[in-house]
Amino acid sequence: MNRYAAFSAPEFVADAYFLQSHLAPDAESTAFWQAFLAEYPDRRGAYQEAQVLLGQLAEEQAQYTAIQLPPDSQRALWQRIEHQVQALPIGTAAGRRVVFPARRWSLYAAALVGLLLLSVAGWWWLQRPGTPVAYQTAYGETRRVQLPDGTQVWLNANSRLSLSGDWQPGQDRSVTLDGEAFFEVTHQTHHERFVVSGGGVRVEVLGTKFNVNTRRERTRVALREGRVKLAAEGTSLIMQPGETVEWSPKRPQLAKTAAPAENAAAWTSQRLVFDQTPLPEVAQLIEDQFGTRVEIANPALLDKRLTGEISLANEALLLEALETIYGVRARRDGTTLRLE
Amino acid sequence: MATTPVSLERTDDRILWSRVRSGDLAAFQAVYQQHVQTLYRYGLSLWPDPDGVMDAIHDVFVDVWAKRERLGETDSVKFYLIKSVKNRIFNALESRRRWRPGELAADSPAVPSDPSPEDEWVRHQETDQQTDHLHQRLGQLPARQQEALRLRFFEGLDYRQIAEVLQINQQSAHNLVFRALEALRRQWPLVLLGLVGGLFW
Repeated sequence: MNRYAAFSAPEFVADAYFLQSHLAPDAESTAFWQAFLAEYPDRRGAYQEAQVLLGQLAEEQAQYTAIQLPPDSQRALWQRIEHQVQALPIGTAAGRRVVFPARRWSLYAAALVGLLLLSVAGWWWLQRPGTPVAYQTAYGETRRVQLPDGTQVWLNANSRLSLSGDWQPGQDRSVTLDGEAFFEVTHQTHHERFVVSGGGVRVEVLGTKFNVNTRRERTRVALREGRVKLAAEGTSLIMQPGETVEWSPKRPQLAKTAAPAENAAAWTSQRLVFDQTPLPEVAQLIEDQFGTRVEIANPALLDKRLTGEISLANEALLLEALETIYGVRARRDGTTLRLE
Repeated sequence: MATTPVSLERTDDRILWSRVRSGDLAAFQAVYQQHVQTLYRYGLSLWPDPDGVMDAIHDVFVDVWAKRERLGETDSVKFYLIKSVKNRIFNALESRRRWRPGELAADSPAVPSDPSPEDEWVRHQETDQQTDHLHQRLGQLPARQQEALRLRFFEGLDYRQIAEVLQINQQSAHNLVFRALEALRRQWPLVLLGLVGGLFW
């Protein structure tokens, strides 16, 4: 009882036992304070002042608690969270890093090419400078992710996409790609460019849909919609929808190829489309997708060309299709697939 | 006052938390529903930007889920979330301040040194009052005292927890609340209602 003997009102209010006695009174605390005030009547003034202070704080609290997140905002925020956590891999796959959750714009201009921009009220995000954000897929895995600006990216098997630098309002949005990805880039109000770097080539877009493949030391960009500017080692060109351009260190020119752009992104629907594609190339595609080494045992198969579509859903289905449709038998020999 | 001390939180809070750690998304949503309003109010009191605060809350929850298997027990889920939101908002403001062109040299120290990050941030807050959400009489006090009062009397954190959120020691937390109450008392005209001895309520 002594310690309260010289207390001022603020000291009472700051005291844990005083507060608890007023929030959750019980017989013991009531008795305590009555006895205290009887023994130290000169403390009554401070004590009562303390109670008034508490009351005023209670009024302040009522105002504070009245600040509410509206129910629909609360629901929408949960949906954002749920969406984001479901994009995270479940647990960690063997040997692969779990990706960081992407930062979010608060309001993003989610316009695909051809659609009008929705209302944009400026944008920012929370990010520690220097924290990298990266996405990685395993063999046989394709994933869809959404970047902080609303851009959708389908990441094909064994590929890695990382956000470079600090994404800031008014500046370019840069990513690097190792592997294959299909992008649906959002158009931002201030026309900030979206830049993909990979395999020696820089792809600059405003807002568009395109596929980038940097595998096997050869970069291929297939444009479905929109406009894209490619730059590589001093050369550059502007692509039109439907075109495919290829570049490699061995042939360092941006060259348009005959391959139609629509087929390039078939993998996003779990299909592989062939159009007079030589079997060795098909073998490479299987390797890229599933990580299985493929060997063509029968030299006669080297000239075989395939046309059509097969499912990428899993390796077994793919091999079955190869056999029944194309007459190419696939036999497992350890970790290698032999085509005969 | 409506706030119950945090130590009296329901034990189902702890059950929920351990379910979250095992990957129960429904439990995770329950945690969200239980605490989002608290976090929103608290966040807004630090930074009067509703979108910014919602983003901070989003990031905190996503982060919790991402590292759920590595989470430990906590004596209070609310406290843990408040601390996390505080960190996010503080970092966000720090970064933003540093990024504003032209202000770099004048405003921020090259490396935030010891007592200053909070002071700098306080200064930023006071010059950046855009919304009027928190028009309270408390608003006359320095930001740090306001925060201490809110954590203590509106959110029911104890001094150990307040100390952690504010990154000071427990004694300093107590002093901060005390000084804030002294300032309040000077500021508010005291109205002695018809008290007749005994306890107020």
